[in-house]
Amino acid sequence: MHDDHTDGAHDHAHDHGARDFQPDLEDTHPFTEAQFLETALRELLIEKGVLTADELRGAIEFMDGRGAHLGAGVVARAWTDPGFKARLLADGTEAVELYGIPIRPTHLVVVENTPAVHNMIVCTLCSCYPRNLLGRPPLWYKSREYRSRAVREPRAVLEEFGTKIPADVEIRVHDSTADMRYLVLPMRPAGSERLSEAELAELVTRDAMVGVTVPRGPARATAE
Amino acid sequence: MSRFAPGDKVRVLADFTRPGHVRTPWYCRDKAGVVERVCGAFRNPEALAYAKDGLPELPLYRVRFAQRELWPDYRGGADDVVEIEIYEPWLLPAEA
Amino acid sequence: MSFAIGSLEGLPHARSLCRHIRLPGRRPGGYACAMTDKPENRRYHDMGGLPAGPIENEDHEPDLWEKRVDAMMVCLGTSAPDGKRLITVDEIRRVIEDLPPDAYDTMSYYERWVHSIATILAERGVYTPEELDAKLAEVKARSKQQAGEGAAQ
Repeated sequence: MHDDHTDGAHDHAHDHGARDFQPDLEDTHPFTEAQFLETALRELLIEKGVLTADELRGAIEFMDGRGAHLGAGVVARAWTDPGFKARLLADGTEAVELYGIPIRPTHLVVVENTPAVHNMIVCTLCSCYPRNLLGRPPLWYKSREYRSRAVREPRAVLEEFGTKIPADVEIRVHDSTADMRYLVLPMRPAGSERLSEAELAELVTRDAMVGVTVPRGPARATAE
Repeated sequence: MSRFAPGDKVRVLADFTRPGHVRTPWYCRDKAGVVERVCGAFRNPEALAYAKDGLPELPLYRVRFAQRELWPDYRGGADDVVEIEIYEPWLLPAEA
Repeated sequence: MSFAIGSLEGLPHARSLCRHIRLPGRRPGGYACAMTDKPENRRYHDMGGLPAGPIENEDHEPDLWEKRVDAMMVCLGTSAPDGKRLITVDEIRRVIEDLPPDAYDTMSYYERWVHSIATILAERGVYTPEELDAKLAEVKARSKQQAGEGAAQ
């Protein structure tokens, strides 16, 4: 099964099925204690009827199917449909569900970048992330360095991602400490007026929806 | 019924000595901010963390704090803020 | 404000399960973990605002075993039709937060999760630590046998 992720990640979700309890031979490092524990735990839970291999496989496939491409579609729709954008900002979960992506029970709050405000998302306490829309969070999002510094020195963090926000633009950092999950609605890049919704979606990266970068503009037309 | 409304000035409790699982981060303790919105009511994570049912649900707010208030030596934009989700029992009304 | 917390006495085996997870000799995250002016009441995971080094802008697809841990958490935490869940993400977080600082730092994200899930299910009595120990021994023996068979080919 191959899923498209706009950040280029390639996944190969396959499970060896209920009859085969061996640690997966595709796991590349020598087996660590944690890998042995995962195998033992899984086998024990399946034996005790707490879980089935099918359920686990389904959950992996579900998460593998979630990714930046879904968020990018939502953003592109918001850029082209003012009514949808208004609904998205008023009630993110409801709007995304109506758009056609089931994300419940996630409580999605969509925050909009404007010329006056730039938004950035972090979970300082752990790694809360809009998984049902964007998939699993990136490693750096879960790192000590990001979790510690994003609330303290967001501008320096943004610079490390190559993003410069003018001093007179307000930086709004959202610490995802409880039940809400966040999506940044980036500003539509200049020069993108003629792009289709699908082409607009290609400009939107996961990092832009977390707020550590902004979308690049469209490639310059060859004939100007 | 929620105690606070958007626009209310609130202050986070100063006392963080309670044991157990807490979702109010240390860096906003005893800091004043403004309620940005009422998120709704949710089960208390401090109880859920110990397999209790977490009822009754508690009102949850997003509170906006000025970075200048959080960090005395903040060197970013003067209007920069952090918005944090905080459960009602962690908030007191702040003086104007 | 008052709230009820469960008895912490029944929190068995966090340390005994911890021993199953050999802490790899891994470089702790980039900077000194000592927080010299950290007040006593600050929990170790509660790191917003603390000094830290440069962010490694790295990302890679989780390994399959990590995806399985993730899937386990989702499946165990999903509401059954009657609204009951076996575990909650809140419990998982609580166990991770109770890890000693050096374990918290040296264990990877999914190592912390699998440890936590294993701990909570033992707390819940889904299995006994002895059952888990026995299963672990079986898994390791099987793995050794397969390695031996592979080498013999």
